[in-house]
Amino acid sequence: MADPIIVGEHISHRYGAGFHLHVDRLALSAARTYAVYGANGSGKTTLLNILALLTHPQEGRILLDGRPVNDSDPARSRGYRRRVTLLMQHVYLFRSTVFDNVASGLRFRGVAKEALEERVTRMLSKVGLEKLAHRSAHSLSGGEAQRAGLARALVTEPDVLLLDEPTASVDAAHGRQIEEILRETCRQRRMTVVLSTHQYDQAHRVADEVLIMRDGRLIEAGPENVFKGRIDESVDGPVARLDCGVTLRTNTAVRGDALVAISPREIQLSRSPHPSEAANRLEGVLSAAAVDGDRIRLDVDAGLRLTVHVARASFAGMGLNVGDSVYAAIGASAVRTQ
Amino acid sequence: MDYLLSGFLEAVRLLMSGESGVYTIVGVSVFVAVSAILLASVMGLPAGYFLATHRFRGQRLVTTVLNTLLAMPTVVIGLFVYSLISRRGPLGFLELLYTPQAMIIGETILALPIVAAFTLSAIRAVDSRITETALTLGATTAQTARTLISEARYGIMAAVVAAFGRVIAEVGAAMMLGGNIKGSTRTMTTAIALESSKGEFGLAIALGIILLLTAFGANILFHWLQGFDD
Repeated sequence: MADPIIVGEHISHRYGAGFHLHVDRLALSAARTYAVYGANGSGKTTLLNILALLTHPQEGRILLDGRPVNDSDPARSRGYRRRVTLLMQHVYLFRSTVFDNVASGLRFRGVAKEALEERVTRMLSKVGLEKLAHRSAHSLSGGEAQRAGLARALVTEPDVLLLDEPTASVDAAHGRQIEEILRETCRQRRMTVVLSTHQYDQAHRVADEVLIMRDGRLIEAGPENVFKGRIDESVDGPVARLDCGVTLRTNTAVRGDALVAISPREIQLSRSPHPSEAANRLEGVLSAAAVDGDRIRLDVDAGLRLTVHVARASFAGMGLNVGDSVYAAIGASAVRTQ
Repeated sequence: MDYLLSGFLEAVRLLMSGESGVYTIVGVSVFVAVSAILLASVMGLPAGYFLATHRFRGQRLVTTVLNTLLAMPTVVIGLFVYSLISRRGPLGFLELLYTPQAMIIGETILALPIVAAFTLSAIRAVDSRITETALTLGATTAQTARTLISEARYGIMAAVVAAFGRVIAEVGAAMMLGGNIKGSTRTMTTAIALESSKGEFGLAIALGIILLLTAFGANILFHWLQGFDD
């Protein structure tokens, strides 16, 4: 793999006596998409703010292209920020039109008027805001504002784009739209994207690599519910024949060898084999349960080892204990290929 | 009551005809006020910006002093400047006493804390994400400052308008430093004081109407600008 574009070394930052972010090493390669996945308060925003040079860590350093970044030198930190930009979770749009907002980063760089207009117009069209170009930015809805903020960041063509929970404050449709814009831009440009999220399925849907953050630390963790297998056609439609021997119905258009992923949030658990619409029903045993933020992370042995996430309240209602028999229902659309 | 009615009718006549140098007096008032506001803005806007965006030792004391100066009696400012520029004062050789320049100095001192304190409040009141957003978009220090000022522009304009309203309606310093010399340092407020004491209500009421309209206009503009700070 090529040399990383950004490296964070021995980064340590404390807020009072409580929260402590500690990242021993973080290496971000060019043209890859990373998701920093973790619960609220796990340290995702602090990490992104440090990478954007908005927060100065008490210890450690950031290297860009192998050279340490000196954020006490305004000219050098500006040079860094012109290559590494951050879209905050709650985007702030300046008190001007949507066009002027999107143009602001280019104006800071002294881009000529004609080139600026062409780039901004193209970017507004890409995010679907071309008709709102001359509207006051403060009159936009939450989803539109988030897209305007994304356009403002993307139009500067950064080498690294940091996004702090870019879809957390928008509805599902806008969230998908933002993901699609990101995917398309990454395809067209060799841009590194680091996106923080508390949605496990989004992390796996968007990123090449998922970094899990817990209590201020990036923890080593393998991907959950990813299995090697083969997608074949059957009389009932496509099926995923996993190497572990389990066969699952799927909707994927992929055929042949594939990595099959099942989001831990899309598996329904129950104590009894009640009728279910789900295409796949597996019987297993609950082998482990652990609290993970506001939910419970369960491991189920059902011929394959499944990880299931359930809300704390739902888990309490089930009355389950480790060793109990459980039934897992998985829809065909939840069985995806990677 | 007849004298008030006849005074009002005389005021209307003077306003229509422009006799008795009504508009010369208005011109002096506006010239002094606008000059003072320009000078106070040149000093007060950067001072307010600096106080809002920097942390230093004694900052709380400076802010407290600034807020105290907002309520400074205008005759005290008049006395202070008078002691400096009177013939026996350290700046007496400049011979500024009873000139429009002396009035501008006094009114600038009056307006400066208003512009600085209101600018400080306006910049502190804007969203804390503005600076961070500008920085992440690659802004220089100067571009970040310009962005912050631009975002606080309505509050800053309100600061200038509030200072203008205070200066145009002030009488103490204008009387002490200008001397109320006809055609030179006679302003609307000093003329009203003089004409009232002479029992010439016509001119006093005419100037009062203009002064009232100016003050109303400044106040309406002030509140209209503050309305933009949602």
